[in-house]
Amino acid sequence: MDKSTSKKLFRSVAVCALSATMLFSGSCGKPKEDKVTIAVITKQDISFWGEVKKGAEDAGRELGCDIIYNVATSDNDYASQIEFINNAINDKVDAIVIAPNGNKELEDAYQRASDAGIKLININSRSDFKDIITCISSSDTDAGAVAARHSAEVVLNSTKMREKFSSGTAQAKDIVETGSGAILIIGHTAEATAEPRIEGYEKECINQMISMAQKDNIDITGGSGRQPSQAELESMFEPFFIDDTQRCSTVDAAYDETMKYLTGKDADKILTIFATNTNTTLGVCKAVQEKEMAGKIHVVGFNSDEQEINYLRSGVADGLVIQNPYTMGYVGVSYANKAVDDNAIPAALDTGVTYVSADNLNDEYVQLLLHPDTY
Amino acid sequence: MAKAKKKNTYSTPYIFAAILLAVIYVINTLLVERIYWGNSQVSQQTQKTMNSINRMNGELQNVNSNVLHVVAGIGDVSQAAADARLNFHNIHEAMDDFENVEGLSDDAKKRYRHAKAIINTYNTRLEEFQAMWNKADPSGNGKLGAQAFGGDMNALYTQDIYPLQVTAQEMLQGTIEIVNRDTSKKMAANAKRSYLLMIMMLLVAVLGEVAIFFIARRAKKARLELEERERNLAEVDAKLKSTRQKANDLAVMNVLTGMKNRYALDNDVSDRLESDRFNIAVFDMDNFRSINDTYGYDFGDEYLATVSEKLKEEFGNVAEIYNITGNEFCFLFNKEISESQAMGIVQNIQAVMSSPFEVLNLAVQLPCSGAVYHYLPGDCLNVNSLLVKLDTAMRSAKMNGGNMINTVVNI
Repeated sequence: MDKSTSKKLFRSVAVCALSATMLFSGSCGKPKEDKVTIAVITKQDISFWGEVKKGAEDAGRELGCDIIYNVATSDNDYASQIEFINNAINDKVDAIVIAPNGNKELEDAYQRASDAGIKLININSRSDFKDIITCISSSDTDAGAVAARHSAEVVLNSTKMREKFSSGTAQAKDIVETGSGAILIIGHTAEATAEPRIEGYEKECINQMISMAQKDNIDITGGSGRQPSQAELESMFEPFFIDDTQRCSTVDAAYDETMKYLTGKDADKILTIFATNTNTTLGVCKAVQEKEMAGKIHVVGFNSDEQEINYLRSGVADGLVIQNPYTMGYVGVSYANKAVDDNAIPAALDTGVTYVSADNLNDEYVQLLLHPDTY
Repeated sequence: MAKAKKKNTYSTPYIFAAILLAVIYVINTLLVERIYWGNSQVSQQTQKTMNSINRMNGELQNVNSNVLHVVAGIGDVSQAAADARLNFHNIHEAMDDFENVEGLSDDAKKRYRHAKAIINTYNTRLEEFQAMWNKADPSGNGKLGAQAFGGDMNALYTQDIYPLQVTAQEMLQGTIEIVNRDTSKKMAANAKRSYLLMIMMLLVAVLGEVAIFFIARRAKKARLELEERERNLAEVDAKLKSTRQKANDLAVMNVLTGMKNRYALDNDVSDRLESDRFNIAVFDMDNFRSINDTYGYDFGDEYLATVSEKLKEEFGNVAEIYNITGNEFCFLFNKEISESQAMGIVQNIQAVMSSPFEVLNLAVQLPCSGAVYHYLPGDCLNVNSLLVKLDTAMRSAKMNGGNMINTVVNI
C-alpha cells in the first residue's frame, strides 16, 4: 500500500470513529445531575440513633443520595451539633437532617445553613427555627400517653388499689399515703422530649384511672357525691406521681436517682416507675434488678436498646414504649431529598410509638421495629 | 475446469465478506430484538408493580377515610368495619399481584416488606378495636363503644392508628420510588446497550468495509499476479513450442538451402511406398566439386543456395523439393502430376539448374544430370532402395557424359 492510500484510509477510519463518538456523545450528552448530599446529625451514640442511621443510609442508597452521618456525644451536646452543621455548610451539602440537642443554641448555625440554601429537616424533636421545613418524630406527649395506658392498668389492677377503690370511699391522696402505689418518674435531661413525655404520661394516667373508675362505678370522690371538675380530678390524682426527681443524662445518673427512692422512706409506696428514654430506662432497670424488686415494681421504659429488650425478657421491665427510629431516619432523608427538588412535603410526620411487652415481643410489627434493617 | 476453479478463487473473498456481513446483521438483529424485549419487559413489570402499589395505596386511603368517619362519630361503625374488611381483602389481592412480579430489586422487596408488615398490623389493630367495640357495645350504641376506648377516640386514633397509616403510605411511596429508580436504571442500561450496539455496529461496518477493501485489493493483486504468471507461462510455452519446432525443422531441413533433407523425405515417403503411385526425380550438378575447388566452399554454398531458391520459386508448386545431399535435389511430384507431365517438368528442372546463376557478382553455370522414377506401389521396400535406384540411374547418366536425364526402369 502506498503512502497516499494509507493516509486516505486512515482519514476515512478516523472520520468514521469521530462520527461514532459524536453520535454516542450526542445521544448521551445530557449533563448528569449532581448527586444530592444530605448530612444526618443525631444526638448520641446509642442504639436508638444507630437505627436512625440505618434508616437514613437505606434511604440514601435507595434514592441515590450521599449521606454524611455525624452523632453528638450526649443528648445535651449541642456544641458538637453546631460544629457538624458548620462542617455540612463547608461541605456544601444540599440538606441537613438533624435531631437537635438544643433549641435556641442551634439557631445561629441553622441561620448560616439556611443562608447557604441548605434545606433543614428535624427528626425526633422540633426546633423553633423558622426555616425548619418539617419534623419527623413521634409525638412525645402521645408516647407518654401510650405508656400511661398500660401503667394505669397496672396501678388499678394491683390488689391494694382494687381494695381501696372497691371500698368506694378512697381518695387518691389516701391511696398514696397508705402505701397503695405511687408512680416514680425518672426523666432525662433533654427538656424538649422529656417534659412532653412526662406531661402526656401523667395526664393520660389520670384520664385512664378516672375512666376505669367510672366504668366500674367506683366513687373516687370520697363520698361527696358531687362530680368533680377535670381540674379537681387531676389535682386529686397528682399525689400519685413522684416527678420532682433529678433529671438524668446517663445510665449511672438514672440508677443513682432510682436507688435514692428505692432505698428511701417511701420505697414501699412505689408501684410503678416510668423512665423517659434509653439511659433512664437502663438505669431504672439496673436498680430494680439489684434491689430484686422485679415483679413488685412495674417498670415502663422507653426505646429498644438490646439491654432494654433483655430486661423486658427477664421481667425486670413490664413494657417499653418503642419509637420508630429507623423510619425517622428513612423518611427524614426521603423528605430532605424531596425538599432539595422543591417537591411538597408534609409539615410534620408522626411515626408513632408502640407499647412492647413480653406478650407482643414477637409480633410482626414489633419485630420490624426492633430489626428494621434485616426485616 | 481450471477456468471454473480460477473463477472460484476470485469470488471466495466476496462470498466470505457477504457471509460476514450477514452474520453481523443477524447478530445485530438479535441484539436489537433483545434490547426491545428487555425494554418491553421492564415496562410491563413496572406497570404491574405500579398498578398493585397504587391499588394498595388507594384501598388504604379508603380504610383511612372509613376510620376517620368512625373517629368523628359519623356513619355506621358496622358498615365501616365491613368496608374496611373489603378494602383489606383488596389490599391483600394487590399484595399477591406485587409478590408475583419477577425481577424486583432487593431494596424494593425490603421496602415492600416494611409496608406489608405495617399494613397487616394496621389491619390487626382495627380488627382488635372492632372486637372491643362490639363487646362493649353489642346493641350498636356508639357511646358505649367509644367508652371501651376510654372515651377518647381522637387520642386513640392519633396514637395507635394514624402513625400506622402514614408510615405504611411512606413505605409504599418508598417502594414506588425504588421501582421508578430501578426502572430508570434498567432503561438507562438498555439505552446504554443500544448506544454501545450502535457504535459496535458502526465500527464493525467500518472495519468490515476496510476488511472488504483489503480483501478485494488482495484478491485483485492475486488475480493480477496469476494472470502475469499465466502470461509468462504462455510465453514460455510458446517459446518452448517454437524451439521444439525449430529443433524439429532442423532435424528434417538442410540449413544451407532451407529445404527439407533426407530424413524429411524418409518421413514423407515411407508410408506411401506400399500403396501409392507417384513420380519422383533426383538431380545433381555435374562436376560441382570444381566450383568449390575454384571459388571456395563459401562460394559453393552460396551457389547452391541461389539454385535452391530458384528451384523453390519455379517448382515449389508442383513438387516437394528435398536437398538430400550436398548438391543433390530430390523432387517428389504432387499426386495430380501425371507421368508425362513429370517428364516435361524434369526437362524444365534440368534447364533451370543448368542455366547461368549470378553468385557474388560472378556468373556461374554447371550442367546437371538427373533421374526420374515413375514409382508403382510395392516397387521398393524402403526409401533407401528407392534412392539407390534413382542414384544408380543418375550416375549412369553422369558416366555417359552427364547433362542428361535417365529414367529408372522397373524390372
